[in-house]
Amino acid sequence: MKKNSLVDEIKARSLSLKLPQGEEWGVIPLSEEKKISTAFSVPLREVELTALEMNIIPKRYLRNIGTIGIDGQKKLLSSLVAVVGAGGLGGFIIELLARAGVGRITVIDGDLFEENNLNRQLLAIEKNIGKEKVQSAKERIATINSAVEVEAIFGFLTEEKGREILSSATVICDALDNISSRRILGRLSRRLGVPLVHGAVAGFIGEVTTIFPEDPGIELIYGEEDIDRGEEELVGNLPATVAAVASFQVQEVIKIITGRGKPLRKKLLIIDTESGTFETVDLVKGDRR
Amino acid sequence: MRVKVKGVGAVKKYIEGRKTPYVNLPPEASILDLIKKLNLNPQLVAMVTVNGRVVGKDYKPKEGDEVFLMNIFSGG
Repeated sequence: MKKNSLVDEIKARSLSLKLPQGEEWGVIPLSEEKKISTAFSVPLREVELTALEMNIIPKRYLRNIGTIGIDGQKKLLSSLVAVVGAGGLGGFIIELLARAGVGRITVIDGDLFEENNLNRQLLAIEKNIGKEKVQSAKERIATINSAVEVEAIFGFLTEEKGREILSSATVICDALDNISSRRILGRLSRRLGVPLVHGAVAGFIGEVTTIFPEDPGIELIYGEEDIDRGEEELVGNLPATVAAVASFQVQEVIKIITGRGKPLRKKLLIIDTESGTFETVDLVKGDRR
Repeated sequence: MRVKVKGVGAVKKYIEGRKTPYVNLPPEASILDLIKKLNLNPQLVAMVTVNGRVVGKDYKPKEGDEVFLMNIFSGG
């Protein structure tokens, strides 16, 4: 009964939008969604999912639909993406996931903002120095897309914590800044059977790949060296490199969830912004010789 | 034995600073020997591919192989 009334209410408050090519779409503005959410005491995400089931598009996602379709938007809104790290990569990843309409986001980080984060971390603003990164992430998501359900976990990734937090994720994003945690995350994603989107940066250079549980991954990229940091210790991290890599990571997440496009599986994309080149290296293990 | 070396990051800069991407090595030399010959820090070379396949640093390339050396990038 309640569901029926919700459907009726969404229908009554939606508008018809005629596209240039003549097609007509039903759309619902955010203000109307919020009224329905309050009146029916249902989360905004449920209102949006019900609308999409009726082929009515929440207006905020209108510019997504031409590429991913209503079905793709439903998949995004029904998914849970875990972002491990809320620093440079994590900040941009969270921003773009919330705008794209990923319905549930879990953010894990045990750091506080420092002044040297201000050059590249979207969530690092002057008044946030000393504040928990995950708290800022949660607040930022709420200001972008209040339909998104956020779990903010303050603390660093461990095998034990990861098993608990990441097991229900649709996709995991590697937004870490050290190799030992990345090795833990690689093992966890494999054991839990959850695809992992890896990204890392140093100076002008960035890399991205998608690792499915059955694929070779982190261990191929980082080899066997007992070292925890890379070239970034010397060259730092430039803001645009961070934003570029995070953008590619989010595009991978969208492709995995919606089934559109071709994820960068078994391929490491290397973005060299200094020379303006992209290179792809096959992540395929060769024979010993 | 002569191999062609490519790279990314600091490795690329170093190789571009040489007159040629080709490096001469003794017949049984390993990738680690190549890295040392190029005066690179082996710890900072993460991934190595030979003719597009990921190999370990003990791998022994052969005449004409294309070796790709990649520095470690781990920032976030």
